[in-house]
Amino acid sequence: MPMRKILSFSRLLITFLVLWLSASWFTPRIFAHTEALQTEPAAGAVLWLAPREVSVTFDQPILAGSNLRLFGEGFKEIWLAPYIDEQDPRRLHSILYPRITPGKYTLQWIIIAEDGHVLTGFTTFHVRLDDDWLIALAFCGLVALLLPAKQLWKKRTPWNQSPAEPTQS
Amino acid sequence: MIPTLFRFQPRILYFYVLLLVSLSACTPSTQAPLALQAVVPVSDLVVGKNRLPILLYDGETLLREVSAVQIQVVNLQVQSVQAVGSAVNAVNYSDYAVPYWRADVELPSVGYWGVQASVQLMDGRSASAEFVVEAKASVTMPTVGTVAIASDSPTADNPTDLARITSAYPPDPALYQISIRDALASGKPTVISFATPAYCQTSYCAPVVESLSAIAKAFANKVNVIHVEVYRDYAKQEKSAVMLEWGLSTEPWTFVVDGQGTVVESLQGPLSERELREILERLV
Repeated sequence: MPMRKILSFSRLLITFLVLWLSASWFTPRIFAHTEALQTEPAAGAVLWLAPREVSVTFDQPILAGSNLRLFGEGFKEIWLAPYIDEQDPRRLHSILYPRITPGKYTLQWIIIAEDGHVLTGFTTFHVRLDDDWLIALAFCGLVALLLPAKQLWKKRTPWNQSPAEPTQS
Repeated sequence: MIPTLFRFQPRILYFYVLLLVSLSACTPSTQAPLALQAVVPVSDLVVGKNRLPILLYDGETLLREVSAVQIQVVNLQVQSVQAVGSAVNAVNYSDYAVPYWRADVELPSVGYWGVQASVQLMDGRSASAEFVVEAKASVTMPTVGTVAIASDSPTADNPTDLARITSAYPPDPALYQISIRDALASGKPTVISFATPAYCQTSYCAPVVESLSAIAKAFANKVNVIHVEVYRDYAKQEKSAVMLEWGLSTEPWTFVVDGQGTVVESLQGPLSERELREILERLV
């Protein structure tokens, strides 16, 4: 390929790249409505144990005054103290204390976006077991582990062994 | 010692089987539940009848295979939760870019009201969710039954002027032929929509202007259709004078006004061509 052709091709490529980069730099990539990107627990999640925290991450930073509300069945509202993450101003979260009981929950967000728009949305999740179940499971597991150990202890310790039957001659 | 500890023992196996059976008996059905997520893109609800648009998702995926959505308003201001009126069947508008459901709910007084949404899918799965909405004592924008504001909204008929007054690209000249003031004086029904096609990039608000264009074509000479741009200067976040005059701080908003200049529908959020057509067919 002649050198002149290669040079003109590279020039064309560079021009195209410069134009493309400047276009993508100057195009306004601003969204007038904020959308939820991720919720924790995830939408429709079925959790064995109650979560310690609920959170929603949006595609844009949100403003103070944004709120999270959590409802159990029959509109039983669970107390939340939502706050915007200092490290990530797109994330609104709250700890869950005390832990919630098994059942279906709706997590609702009412947020104020940077452009002042108010938007609400909700997601649902289920919790299967509560802390009492966790304790019961731990206890059962411990018993299951100790049972064979006890049998072993019975089998191996000489003072537990019954004396050998006297043989009749 | 260790191999003996973990040796197969029928009694331990029996114990674990018993534990698993009792656990599964206590858990809900094994069918995967619907990962219901929803967006309710309205913020200004008032005492009385309100249009509640709902967008449904299964996780992050838009839910299209929905057979029915029922909405029930409940009173949270009493000791035990009470249903207000009967459940409402929401209407599906799948002709919009993002299919949505419209429910007309009655909020009896100022304050927070519970909303129970029951969703039935075509594959037989179902899900429900509870959320709250706030009925405000008053809002800044015109409501149903009030007189529309006769604003001097900008008009244009050549590409240069059109580019100055709308962010729609390409703009539909049919939406900028008459000002709100002249439209209200014409005695014909009028549709006035406040939206920003270029800056509202989510799929549930930008296509409102497309619905307007389709309606302007279908109801030519019978209905005035006007689009008002939200921003005067987007970089400075300065809203247009007409937006401020109408008391709007959010968008998109669409108002349907009858021939006498009274607001008959105040629609916030997504608006499909079919929904708008159904409203106008009652007026013309």
